[in-house]
Amino acid sequence: MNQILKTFILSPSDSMWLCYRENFKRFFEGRSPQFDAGIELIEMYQNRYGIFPSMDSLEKELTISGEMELLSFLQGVCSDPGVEIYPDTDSFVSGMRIIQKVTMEQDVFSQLAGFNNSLSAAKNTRFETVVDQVEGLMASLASVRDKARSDSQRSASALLFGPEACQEFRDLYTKNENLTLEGSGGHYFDLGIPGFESLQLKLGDLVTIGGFQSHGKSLLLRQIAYHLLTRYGLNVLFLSFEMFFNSVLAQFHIRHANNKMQFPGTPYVSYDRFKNGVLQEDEKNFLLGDASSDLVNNPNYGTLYLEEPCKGEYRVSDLLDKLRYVEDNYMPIHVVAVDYITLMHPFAQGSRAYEVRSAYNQMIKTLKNHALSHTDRKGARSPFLLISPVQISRHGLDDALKNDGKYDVSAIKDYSEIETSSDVILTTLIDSEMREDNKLRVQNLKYRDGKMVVDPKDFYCHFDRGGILSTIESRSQQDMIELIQRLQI
Amino acid sequence: MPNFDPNCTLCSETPGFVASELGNMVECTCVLKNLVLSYLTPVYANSKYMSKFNPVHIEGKNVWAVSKSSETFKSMIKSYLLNTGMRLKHQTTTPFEIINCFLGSGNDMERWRTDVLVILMGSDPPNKMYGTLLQNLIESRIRLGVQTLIHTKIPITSPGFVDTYSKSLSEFIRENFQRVDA
Repeated sequence: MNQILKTFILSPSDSMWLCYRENFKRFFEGRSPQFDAGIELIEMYQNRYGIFPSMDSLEKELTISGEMELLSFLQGVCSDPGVEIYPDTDSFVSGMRIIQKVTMEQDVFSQLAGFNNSLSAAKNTRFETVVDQVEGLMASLASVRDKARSDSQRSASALLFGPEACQEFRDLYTKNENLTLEGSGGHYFDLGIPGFESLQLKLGDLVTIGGFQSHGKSLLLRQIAYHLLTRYGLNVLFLSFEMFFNSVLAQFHIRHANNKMQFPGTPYVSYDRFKNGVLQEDEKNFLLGDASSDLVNNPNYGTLYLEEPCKGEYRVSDLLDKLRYVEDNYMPIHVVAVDYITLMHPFAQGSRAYEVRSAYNQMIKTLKNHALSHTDRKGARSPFLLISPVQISRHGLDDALKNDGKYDVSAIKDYSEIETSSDVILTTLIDSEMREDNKLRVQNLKYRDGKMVVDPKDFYCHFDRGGILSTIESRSQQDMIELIQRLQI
Repeated sequence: MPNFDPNCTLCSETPGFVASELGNMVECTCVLKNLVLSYLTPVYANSKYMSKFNPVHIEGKNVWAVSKSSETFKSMIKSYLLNTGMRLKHQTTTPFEIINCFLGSGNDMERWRTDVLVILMGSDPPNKMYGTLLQNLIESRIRLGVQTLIHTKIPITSPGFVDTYSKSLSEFIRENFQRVDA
């Protein structure tokens, strides 16, 4: 929210003010008295003099009226280098949209957490009392919803979507049209996994990540997608058949907020605390303000397009339609990440095929062919990188566990086309001991373009930090206490 | 256990941080010491640390203590915060500061939404608003499931306490807080 104030004090724009004032004023009203007072002051100045106040004129105005606390707040906001100024309407709209959306999610989480606490703390467990509490929860959730809805009716820049909102997105994404891969240092990309740097990917490749259920396949997929997005500026179309759209988005935001190479000296943002709606002010401001807006607006990054498959039988044709739609309307796509491929419906519409395994193999082959032969909207060849996890059977897992936790390529034999079509095959494994230590083992089973990385490597999974994979362990609480006790503080 | 870095920048001129995506990992005692002191804030930095203090005694509970001096209480808080591995975010305040904040910026309860809120009572100028405001604040914290610790210099049933903070607050503390000796 402070970004909005700073923008209108230090770099105001008439059009932004006229189009969006009502929207952000109403949406954020009551969340921060100082923000409200700041906006009211700018509004008053605008009405009185027809111009935006400079910091100097605000200082005079507030000194005369004796509102020193507000003055020091505004001075703090304007002098804080960490508070971004939105340079144009695009970044303003997208920044505001992100803040609004996540703020609303926080509101919902807070309401639910408050309800949960009051329910568990209630001494009186009468049926009527519980019903009353549920009524209260529903009323408060309805007020969150109504606030979002009423904003969306007033302005296209609110939370929800409509033709105008789509146009804004379209304008924003048009910028991505000009994105070429020349600036990324060539056409080869590493996976962003320490120890696997020699595995170089290129557009048109198929990367598969094999693993048993809950063995970190999706986590590794997000890690690779995040790396390609931020390190190489590639545009990523991400489909998840397993997780809710908002959860995936939150994972990416929290993953980015906890990238301390990007944001050194900033607070950690805990995914658990986010889920429970108990982030503290500094964490919330950092997540919603700096980190989320950086992921959206940083010109060095690509754009993440999250597709929520809204139908039961999502086929390859649906994926290709969506790809075409996004490319025709928004931006070229360089990477398609599907979580995961075998959850797609393998039979074409109206097909009479009954052999499931061969249908899946055919589907994988089709996707690989499309990845290689894809053309952009002008008809030029424009291959994309396809990444997807695949499920390994319990039998395959058992074999790996008997073999010192190392998979053999036969573990993915259920779908022979994966072995044939994949350019890179990775596997993930978490045995019971590793699960206790929050560890995950990554192994390379195939690399078409060169020498495989022979030895599997173990990583620490920082689930609470958005799923960062690292060679460094988070210090446990017991370690920390032992260290402190040695310090003689 | 992580190794201490013998080449700490504070001990010699060689860099002592390991930069990583997870942040600057603390690998030497002096860096860790600074981190701990900064976590404690000046309020607790010089209080006595009881390394054997078992945090279970007050963990997750709303607790109040009465003593003429707050030093023992601060020592207990310091030991509690350190012996829970610095995972709890904390804030220490006085009723007077809470009133000032309330009058300055409206009903901004968000400001006090921390894991552990320590309220030092007993040196505040009288104000009729203490009772309602503090009770409201503590009730909202109880609903959120976060912990409040109170130290008073005088007994909460004494006329001095009741005159300053109200009878209702005195009763509220007695009903909702567990007394400890500090």
